[in-house]
Amino acid sequence: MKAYARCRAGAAQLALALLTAAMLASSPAHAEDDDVTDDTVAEETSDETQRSQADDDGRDDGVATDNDPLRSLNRPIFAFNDALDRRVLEPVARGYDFLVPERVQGWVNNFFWNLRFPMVAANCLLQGKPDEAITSMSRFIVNTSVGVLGFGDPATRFGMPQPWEDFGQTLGVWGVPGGPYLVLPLFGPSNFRDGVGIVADSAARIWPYYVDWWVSLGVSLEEGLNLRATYLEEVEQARERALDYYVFTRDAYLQRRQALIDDRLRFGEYNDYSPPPPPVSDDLYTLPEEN
Amino acid sequence: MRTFLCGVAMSLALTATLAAHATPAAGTSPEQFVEQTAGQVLEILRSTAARPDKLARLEALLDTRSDLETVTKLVLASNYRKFSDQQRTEFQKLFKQYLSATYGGQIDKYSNERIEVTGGRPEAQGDYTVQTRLKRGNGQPDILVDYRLRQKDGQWMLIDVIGEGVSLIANLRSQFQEILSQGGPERLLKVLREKSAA
Repeated sequence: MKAYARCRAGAAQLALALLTAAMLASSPAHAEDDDVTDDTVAEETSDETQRSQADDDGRDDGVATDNDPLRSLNRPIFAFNDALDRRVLEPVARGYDFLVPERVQGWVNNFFWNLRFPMVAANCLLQGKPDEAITSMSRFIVNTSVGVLGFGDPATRFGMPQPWEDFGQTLGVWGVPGGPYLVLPLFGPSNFRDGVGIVADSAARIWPYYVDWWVSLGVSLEEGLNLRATYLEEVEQARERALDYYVFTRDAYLQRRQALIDDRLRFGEYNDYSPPPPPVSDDLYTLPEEN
Repeated sequence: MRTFLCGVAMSLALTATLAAHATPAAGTSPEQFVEQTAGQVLEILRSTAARPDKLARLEALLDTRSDLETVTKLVLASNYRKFSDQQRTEFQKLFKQYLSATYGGQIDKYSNERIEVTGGRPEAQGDYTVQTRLKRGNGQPDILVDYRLRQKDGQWMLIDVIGEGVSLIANLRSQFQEILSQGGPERLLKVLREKSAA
């Protein structure tokens, strides 16, 4: 029953966060990013034209545009998340990064990965990959003991790389379509399928059932902060490079999730493993007609 | 948070790809092509030359190892038709500047990386994909980078970099598509001009 209560508390927090985010998103938070928001309006109409043009000549230029019917909702939420990151999360993460050595950040990431073992193992099984489930369990045992509570990752060195399966991927493997692209307040890029996945996977996080909600919240914040601190430079570069950061992120997210579903990415040393080729999308590599 | 990885992958992949001088001999296998090019890139990155010098050498290398014309057509896809000849020429110039300014800006940050070719496979259209693992050392996780090659005049040329499952061509195409749908070629050229000037 205690576990049930934790769940309820968690759900309430999430709901509150979403609500706050939605309210904030509708007004001044993204005023600075007017470049982004202005475009949202302009693009609505021209996008229609664009699409009908594409239909006319029987080919579709847009890579992910069809996946994003909710863009007018997504854009402001994305701008909100981005503003929140720039003003709060990133500055805090910079301070954290200054104080906490890189090596320690690595330990913390390992620790949280290790705790995800029940989720990863369950999804391996749901996808019919018992060998991966066994790897996942062996990793948990080795890293929790030899790796001192999971702070170290000797398992990878012993030839047991981290499988990465989550429920969003499981649904994908089962043939559930991704549905529209979705930007979740605070959580960032997702789609309908992965949104369901996030909720399901959070149920497979065992430890929050055994601690008070504020401990759970604090630990989750530390997990997020540590992760953010790990990727300070990469995010900065992405922002700098992107011509349209929203589209950059959306496309990268969707491509990467598809690659994970197709098992095209393996982490660690799989020397004898050769990932399957991507599904035929040779459209991407076909030269356009010149005129 | 997962998208951060894509950022890492793409940035490292492209930086590591700003490719080399000595042209590989005809008959070089795609794997050898990638290995040689990567070796030359790392050599430049590790050299003690001044930054602008390094960048110039990397650009010269990239010119000989990638088929920018094909890349240009692929990223614009069917939008290519909407560009006049003049706009196409300008786009290609700006696109190159953009890649150089944005991806080349970080060259100081890499030097300890190693690239290990892990496999390869032939693709449709006579293309070939070489799979590699970018070893970053320092306890940082490896990054999986695929290079898609296409032959031009009997030479393999780089046409795409796929970092952690994210194709650079596909990603840029989405972004270009968005901007084109907002204001056509002129707007895209304007955005690129601003971005590459920065």
